Amino acid sequence: MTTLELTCDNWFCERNELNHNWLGSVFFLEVSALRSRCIGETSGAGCISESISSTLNTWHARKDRVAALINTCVTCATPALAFNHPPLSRCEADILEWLPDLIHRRWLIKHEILDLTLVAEQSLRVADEAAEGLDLLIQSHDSCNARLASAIDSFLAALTELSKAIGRLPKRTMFA
Amino acid sequence: MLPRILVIDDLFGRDVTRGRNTARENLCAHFHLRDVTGDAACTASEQVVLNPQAEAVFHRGQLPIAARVGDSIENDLSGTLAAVMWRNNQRSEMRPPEAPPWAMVLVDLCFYTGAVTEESDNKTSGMPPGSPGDDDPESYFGLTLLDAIHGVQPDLPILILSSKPRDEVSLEFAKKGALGFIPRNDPKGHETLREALWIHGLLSDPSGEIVGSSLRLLLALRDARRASRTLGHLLIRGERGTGKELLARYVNRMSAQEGAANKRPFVPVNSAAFAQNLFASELFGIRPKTASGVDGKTGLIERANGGDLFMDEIVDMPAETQAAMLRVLQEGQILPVGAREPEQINVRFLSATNADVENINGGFRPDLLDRLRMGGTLSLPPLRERSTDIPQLVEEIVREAEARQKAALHRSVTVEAIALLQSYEWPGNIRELRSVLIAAVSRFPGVEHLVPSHLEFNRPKDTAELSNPSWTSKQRKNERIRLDESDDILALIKLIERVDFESTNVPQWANKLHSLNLSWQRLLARYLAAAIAVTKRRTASVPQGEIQIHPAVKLITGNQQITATKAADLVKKILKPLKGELEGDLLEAFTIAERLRPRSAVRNDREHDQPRGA
Repeated sequence: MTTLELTCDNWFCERNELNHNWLGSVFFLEVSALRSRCIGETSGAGCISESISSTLNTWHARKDRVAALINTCVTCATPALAFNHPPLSRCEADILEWLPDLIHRRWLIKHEILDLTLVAEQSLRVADEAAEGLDLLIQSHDSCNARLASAIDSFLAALTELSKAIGRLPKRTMFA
Repeated sequence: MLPRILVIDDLFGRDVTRGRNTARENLCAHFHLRDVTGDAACTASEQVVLNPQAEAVFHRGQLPIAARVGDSIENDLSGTLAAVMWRNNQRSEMRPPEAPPWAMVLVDLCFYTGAVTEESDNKTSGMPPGSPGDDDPESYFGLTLLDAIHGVQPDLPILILSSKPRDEVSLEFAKKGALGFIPRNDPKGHETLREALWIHGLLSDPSGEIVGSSLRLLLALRDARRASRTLGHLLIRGERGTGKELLARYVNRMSAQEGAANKRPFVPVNSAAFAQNLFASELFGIRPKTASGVDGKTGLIERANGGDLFMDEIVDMPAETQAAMLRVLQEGQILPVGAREPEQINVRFLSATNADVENINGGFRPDLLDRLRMGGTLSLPPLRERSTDIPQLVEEIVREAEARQKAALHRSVTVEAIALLQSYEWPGNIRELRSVLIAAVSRFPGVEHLVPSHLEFNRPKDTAELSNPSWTSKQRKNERIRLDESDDILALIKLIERVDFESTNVPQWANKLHSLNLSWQRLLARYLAAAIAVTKRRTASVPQGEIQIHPAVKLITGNQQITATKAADLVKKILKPLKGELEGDLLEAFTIAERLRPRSAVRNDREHDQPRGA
């Protein structure tokens, strides 16, 4: 569970890190636990609004990395990059002029990459709006647990969709 | 009592040397689990799950469990298997006494290994950054664990709990015996887990009507729960006195919980009880006739409409009743006496038998039998195959017997009496056990302790052997020679030392080194087993006793200063050559030793074999 600087070399690692190690394994459960406290399924020490604020801070700190992951999908996950390294880099120069581009275009079309990234961007936007809605409640010192729980529910639903959307982005370099 | 599940996961299972394992706390909140791991992370938790659906013991699956910067994290297959086996061994004496098997095991897929770095520790305390291959679906450690656990515990329900994509491993996990996949971020996490527990879990009867938590019983209850969903007719098999009606009632209750808020009717009937000329009116009822003044009567099947009719001992059903029942099952209709039109019914038939109904003399209609087991057949184990349930049953029955007596004493049942009861075959099963205990309470109203002499039943001849039933039953089976108090172990040692191998006898003893060595190891193992048996810690709540390898080793070595770790080494040294054939106390002792000393090399020295000053 490392903190990665996003480059084309580690795009797939970053995808795994953000979607599985952070969003799926840790952050979703953190938000879900807040909901459990709001609706009285659990009790815990400390003020619930402070816990929510802390969780939202985590979100704000990570969402840019998620955005960068989505935005760089087309450039960093493309199979055309394989032509930068052996053995494909050994292809003849005239082939390298057209084949990587063809492979890239075919990849975009066959796997509907642009659509997938659009959906992921949209999901991120919805999640961020849900986080903002929750943040507003906290800022306004609204201590109604039902309203907080409802706002957290919206955030959880958005996170679920976001995780699914990132999960549909390529897991590995795909030629076929 | 809440079901207890084992969660094997590096992130949630790691212990913490400082702070809390908030990831584990959040998982518990999401899935409605109460953390009972008992480690520092559990103790440090500030969260209370108010209405948990299960208790969870978390296991990292790796060593060290609590890691610091610089520690190297390695996957720990044998230690994890030992954690699974500790509660769930099919051999009853292996489990901690009175502890039910794990209701379920949840296994993560990806376990991160390697050295814990400053950076990785700052991010998640005690977690390493991971090594190449950890994240590869082809080599997930979780799948290795799954394979190994399923290999030794095929009846144990195992599910994957992971944030990884299900489709990457769906074929592999099914092949390796996992029953399902629960995403960590399942929006309905606790409901998904509840459903999985209901379908796959090894759960005791929450009503307490069916007493016991042995693996055999819990498997039967699981089959019953699964079958209850189909609402198809069921056949329940089991020896007399095993509680077939109780199982039928359990099926009825489980179906009601599944279906609707209303309880389903449950109508028990004895199949032999109907006189041939009365069965129609009893089963199908009578419609009133104003003109003739005949009173109406609701039949048993009608009373069970929308629910279950339990027919006990179906082999005793008269032939005419069988024919009538076949029509009911075929058409789903009854024709009450005096009615002009048949009436539609919606009844599930739960039949029971202790007979070989397919081959019964006089015959039972096979076409009727097929319909009576359309929804499946359930089997109840005999009491002799679930003897670990006897302490619980004894407690329940003795309290029940005391409640019948005014000013009855609150009795305890001695360890010897429990051991005696567990050694008996119980041909009449729980009914026979109940009779024996109720008679004992009734005949000895003034005693606080029930001892073997209070129990009247057809006990085994040599009750003197019953101080350790599991040990002596093996002795009888294998006809071993017992060294009792009249024999001197020194004589045995002298005998062994006098054995010589004559060169005239080469064909017989040649090529026997391996066998001879194994025999020697087995002798040492039996010596250790005897020491384990006498050094068990027995209490009223744990009548079978808990194994303590340290005192056992002190006894056989005469070395009172030997450390626990050296004792574990010695146990491993004695038992390792016999690993494949260990069972019972010895298998448990070996598991304990392995857990204490997972990686110690078993040295061939003799330092801890010698008493101090010897």
